[in-house]
Amino acid sequence: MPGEASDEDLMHLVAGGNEAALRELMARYATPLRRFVVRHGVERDADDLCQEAWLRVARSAARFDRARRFSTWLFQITVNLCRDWHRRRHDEPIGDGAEWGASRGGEVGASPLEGRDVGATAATEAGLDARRLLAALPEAQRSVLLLRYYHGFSEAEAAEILGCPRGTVKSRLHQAVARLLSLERADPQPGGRRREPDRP
Amino acid sequence: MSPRDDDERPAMSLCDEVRVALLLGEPLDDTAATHAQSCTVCAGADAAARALSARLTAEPEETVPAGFSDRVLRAAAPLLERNRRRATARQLVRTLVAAFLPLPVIVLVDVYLLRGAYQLLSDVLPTSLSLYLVLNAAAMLGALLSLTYGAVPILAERQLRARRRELHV
Repeated sequence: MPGEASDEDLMHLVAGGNEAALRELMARYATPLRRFVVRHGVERDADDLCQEAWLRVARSAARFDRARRFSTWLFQITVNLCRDWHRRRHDEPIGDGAEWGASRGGEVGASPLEGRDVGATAATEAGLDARRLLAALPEAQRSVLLLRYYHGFSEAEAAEILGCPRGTVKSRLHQAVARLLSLERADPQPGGRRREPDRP
Repeated sequence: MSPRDDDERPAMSLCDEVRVALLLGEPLDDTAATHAQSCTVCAGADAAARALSARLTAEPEETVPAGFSDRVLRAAAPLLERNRRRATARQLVRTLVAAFLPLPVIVLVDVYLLRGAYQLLSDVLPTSLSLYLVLNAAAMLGALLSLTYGAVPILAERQLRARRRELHV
């Protein structure tokens, strides 16, 4: 029964052309995947990018190694799609915070505060919401933060998804948190709560 | 994984460890916990982590648009059909290989037995009669083998069709 099967068993069925298994996987992961994509800064094309991720899952199902976890494989596909998307959008007009850095000739998704006095930018950043906070991080740091903070992946899993050493994941997360805390200090908001990971 | 990745790793302090653990809601190890109690920089880290957490969670809930799954499944239909065909072909090849792999051994054993039988029969019967009997036996064995192996692809295909039906229920 697809409802009781593990993700990896479902992938085996998808490799055999089973539509119900793909539907079940989508029921489990479509929402976390979409949230990841949107937080990554791909708001406008989120539907298309998510669809492409699922099509790649269907296309590569036969090559899926059942010894691996499906969730890390799926997010690996999605991270690569997000990177490609940001690379493609590099030269296009800027729509939202995610591409802010690009408009200033910097790294895609680079901080709008980079190279500026924090005090001077505090006013500009006063209205930062979560998306704009995330957009203030470079793409590599944002990916790590999304995987570790929002999606509850372990350091090792994040390293596997991003294709980098665990130490790199750790340092990028530290850099991301330090940067976010400096933004938070520049424009504090009261209250706070811990978050449950966006993962089935 | 590139050498550059290691270069970009800065020295990480215990304060960094504390900040990250607090934001992720992970428990501090003994060293970090001791450090957090004595460090003036880390004194307000918990409040700062909570405030940051509040900011990061203060976002509109993203939901998958209605009909998204159907749209994806429609687009994935040709891929799933291709997967189905490939899986069937792979399974068929595996079955045929498994069935035909012992065939040379079976043929060798048959030849060996027939030769033995011919030698035995030649001792007690005229050579031509022995040859006639052994050739008859050989023809019968050949016919049986052909029937058996001729049925393998048909049975394999039928089993695969049943398995496909099972998968799609």
